[in-house]
Amino acid sequence: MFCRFFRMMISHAADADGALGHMTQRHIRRCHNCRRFCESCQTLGDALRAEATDLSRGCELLTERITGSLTDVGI
Amino acid sequence: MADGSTTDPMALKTLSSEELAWRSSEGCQASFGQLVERYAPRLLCFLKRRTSSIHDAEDLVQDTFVKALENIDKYHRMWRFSTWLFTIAARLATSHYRKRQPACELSKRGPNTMCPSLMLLRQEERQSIWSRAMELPENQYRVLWLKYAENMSVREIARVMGKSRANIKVLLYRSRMTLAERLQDQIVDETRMDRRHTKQESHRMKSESA
Repeated sequence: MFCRFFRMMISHAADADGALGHMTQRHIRRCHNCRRFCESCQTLGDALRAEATDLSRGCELLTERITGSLTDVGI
Repeated sequence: MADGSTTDPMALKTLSSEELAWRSSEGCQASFGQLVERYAPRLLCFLKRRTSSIHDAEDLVQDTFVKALENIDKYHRMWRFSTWLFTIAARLATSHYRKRQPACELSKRGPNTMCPSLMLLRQEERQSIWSRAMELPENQYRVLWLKYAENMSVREIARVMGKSRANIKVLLYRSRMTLAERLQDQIVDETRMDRRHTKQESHRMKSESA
């Protein structure tokens, strides 16, 4: 029951890229599953950020198409 | 730093999106072109989760920029440009999906009904963590994209998605929980497969030496 609450706290800390509260830190020292969730949040965040950079690399054809369409509609 | 009149692409690259938006509102087409170059691929990633073809997603990106340019005078500098642009994209996507539902619902379609270009794209991304994220419900995927790819705060994500901050926090929590569980399952499966492979290999070597 408490794990659900503490996982919410862990997730909120990840939302703000902030530190965990004392109570949460104390809980994850004792609870293996919550500790694993906390580690997952960190590694997931890092991996998602890193891979997003690759995914959002330039797409020349799309850019040209959009620029062309803006000219076509006379904006 | 570029001066107020420059249209040199290299100089424009150094400007912030907010400065480019301001220059666009003053009629600088090259500045808007730079914004298109900067945001088109990112919007495509944001929008493609629920479209049945990559062309639909590209059309939505195009519509977003047309709408953005039409309304560039209304852009207020108190918001990051990305927040404003993604808000337009999210609204357009919502009305697009509303019109085309349920035909476009990827989750309700079998894998074989997917357009070949999107299938190819998904295959290329199979190893990526974002491909796993794409299996999440649409809102969960979007909040993850805005948080980790666009570096938006909860407040900014709430504005883009038209939801409360509490709602966004819950969506982020659920997406992290689900993604962590699925990746954990994947690691367990891969470990099992590795063990099975190692067992088979050692068995084969034993029988060869015998």
